[in-house]
Amino acid sequence: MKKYLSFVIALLMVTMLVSTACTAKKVENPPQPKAEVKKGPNGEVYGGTYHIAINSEPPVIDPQVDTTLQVYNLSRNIFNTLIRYKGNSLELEPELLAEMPKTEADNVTYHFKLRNDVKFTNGTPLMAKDVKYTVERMLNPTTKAQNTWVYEEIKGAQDVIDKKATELAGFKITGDYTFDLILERPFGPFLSNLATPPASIYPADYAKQQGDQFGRKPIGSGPFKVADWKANELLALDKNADYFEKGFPFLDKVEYKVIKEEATRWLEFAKGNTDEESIPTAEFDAVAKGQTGVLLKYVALNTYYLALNQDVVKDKRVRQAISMAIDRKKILSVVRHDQGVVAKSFVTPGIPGALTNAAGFEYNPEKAKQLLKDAGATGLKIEAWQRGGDKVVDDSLAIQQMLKDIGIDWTVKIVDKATFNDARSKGNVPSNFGNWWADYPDPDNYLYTYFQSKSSKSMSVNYNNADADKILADARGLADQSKRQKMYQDLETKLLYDEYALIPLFHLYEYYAAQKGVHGNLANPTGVGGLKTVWKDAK
Amino acid sequence: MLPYILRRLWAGIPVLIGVSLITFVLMHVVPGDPVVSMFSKRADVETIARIRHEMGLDRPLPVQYGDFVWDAVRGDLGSSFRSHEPVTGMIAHALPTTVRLTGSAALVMLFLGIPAGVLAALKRNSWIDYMSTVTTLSFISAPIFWVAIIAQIIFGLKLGWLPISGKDHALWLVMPALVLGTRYAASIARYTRSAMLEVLNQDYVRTARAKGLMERRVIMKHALKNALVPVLTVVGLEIGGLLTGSILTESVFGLPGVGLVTIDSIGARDFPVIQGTVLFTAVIYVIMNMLVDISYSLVDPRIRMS
Repeated sequence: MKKYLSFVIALLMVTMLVSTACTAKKVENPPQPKAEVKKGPNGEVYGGTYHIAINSEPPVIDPQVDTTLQVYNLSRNIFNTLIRYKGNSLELEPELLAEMPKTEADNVTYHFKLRNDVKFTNGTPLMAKDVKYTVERMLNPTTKAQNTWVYEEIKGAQDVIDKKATELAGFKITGDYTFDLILERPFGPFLSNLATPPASIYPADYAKQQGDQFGRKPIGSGPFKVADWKANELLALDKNADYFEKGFPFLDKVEYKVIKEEATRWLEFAKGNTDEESIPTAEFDAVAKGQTGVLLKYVALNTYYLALNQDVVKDKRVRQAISMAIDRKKILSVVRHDQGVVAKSFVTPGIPGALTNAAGFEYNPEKAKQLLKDAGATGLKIEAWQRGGDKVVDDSLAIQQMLKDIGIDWTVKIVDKATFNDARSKGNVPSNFGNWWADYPDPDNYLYTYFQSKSSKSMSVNYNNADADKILADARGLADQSKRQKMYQDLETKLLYDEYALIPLFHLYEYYAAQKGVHGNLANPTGVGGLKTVWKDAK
Repeated sequence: MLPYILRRLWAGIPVLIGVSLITFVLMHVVPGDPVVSMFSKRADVETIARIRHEMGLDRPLPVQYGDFVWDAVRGDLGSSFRSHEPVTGMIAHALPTTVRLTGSAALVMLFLGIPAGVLAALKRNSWIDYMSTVTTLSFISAPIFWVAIIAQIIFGLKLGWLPISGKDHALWLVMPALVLGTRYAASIARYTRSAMLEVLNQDYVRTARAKGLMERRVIMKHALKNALVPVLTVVGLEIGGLLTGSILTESVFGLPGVGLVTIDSIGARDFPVIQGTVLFTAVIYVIMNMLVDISYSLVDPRIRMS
């Protein structure tokens, strides 16, 4: 019997080894002769491969149709936008433009001049026709783009969306490298919109030829280009040797490896197989103490809040009571290990027009109980919908306990993303501990999204007020920035401190871990960034 | 044998129609819209309606199902809502990984499970039997996910013998196949032990021993061969378990198989991909069960394929 058993085990091992050895395409790279290290003006090291683990592959790398942060970050590596945020600031600067656009006095006409030294990675020069095609592609319904909001204020955009026109009336090509954009009405955040990844510029002829396959075979003018894409396994980018910003990028290659499980991704990072990783809650202290990698922090434009559907919690005294019952400082300290600041506003501080001089929200459970009593709201039950995740559950549990202390039964229902998004878009989520990350640093991005009647319904806040709608529409079109900011501040004061239409809780810093020897990561407060400036110590 | 195979395949068609119909109904009953789930932040009603129309999701459900069946009959499972890639191509690309994983895991299941069960039966109530019971029960009880993480920490992170995840290493298959296979080997070992114990008490085994046959021949030819008939039934069922377990294993080890495609498509409500992968898995299941049935006749000549 022993003999048989040994034979069987040996056979098993041989079978498995043969199976793996026969199918493995890449084993190890042969040793390379040591070349001299090329360095940049500030000591940056050229070369090397940057390894990143991602939880799922992007279905397409097309930021017009995919709204995920992952695709936005990839877009910053593969494409360029006309305008961008300067480094890690919120200041706008030209990227594909030779200079910032000139605006006419009417505040609806913008003159653009492109750089004439930009080429896509297929060798074709970037010209005004490419920009026009890109804008019209987004608005064309057959693209099924989700980010049409970027260009919707351009004159004639709605006609293209409604298939009444194929060409955009508000886009005038004035030369090979110049064009004008005309808006329907003045729109304050327009230039900020053009700095977002969905406004990336595509090569017209190539994109037309690829149709809906463009997102699987993307070509742009960015610092990297797609070299290899093995479905659900590996996405490899190579350096764009002809990148128009001379000296960039530093890395030769970027490899994104698909690993679904957070725990596995972390093990790969701990082993040194990846260069950066988001930090699981349980590992934060080890990273902070320098036991695993290096802790990197940046201030992000976000607000974590408690949304109460106005169709469910109609009495503003109840909403005020809920706000008063939540000890924001305690949640921030206990659940979030003081990794942020208590919110006094919904629009994140740092954004021009944010409500920075507000008094803040009072924590007073006794007064909260009195308010509930005055409102006749006893034995109140509210259901909260959450999209899973350990941190979300912890925050929700804390809120649940605090509300229980004033007599509110706040039950938390965990649902998957698709179910949540579906219910929320229909205005059916009764309550939610959520967060908003700015698409562009303007109060409009927060206040219009959450409080303009139509948009508010799709966020399940269901705030419906004609006066607020008018203020939001007027503020969008105002050229006088100080007047505009004052309008937003007044509106936000009324919404948050008088009507308690939303309950801001805190703004969180963003942390992640990188390997020692990784440099140059310019994390922008918008949360979107590329790897153009990143470099690694020479090995 | 050919008429039998054809008959079995013919009988599988109602199963596949049933599976496709149930999947289709479930996809539309479960909350969550494929268009809305594509939006990571906001989703306004007009944009959703426009994209739904472009994707043909506003057509009546019977029409959508009819189109799917008609296309599927012609070998076209449609295209992914998200990547626009043909579903058949996505499955074809992912299939080799899943086949290698489940095939290797099946080998582990059979070559570890059956000998372990035989040994435990032969050494009944000895420390070997007790050890076997404890080990097999542990593997049956422990979630694959947990065993995988422990194995990754020990053999990948600490010892560095095997890769933690992915396919870019010569030994990529060893850890996933062992993790997945041992779970099911444990079940097979339990069934084999029971079946062997029953057979070892039969008269023909006693007769074989009385004839003076060597013990190895008694066990292998007379006892094990007869004990394998009920074990094969369990193997057929466990193949289904292996397919399900491979989804989790692929997820933990970052392997680009059919399981990973399925998980992603369910999360995104990518209907054509869900429908395609479920249908494909059902086909595999039908074929595997047929193969198990055929193998009965090889083990026991009294069973005829009629």
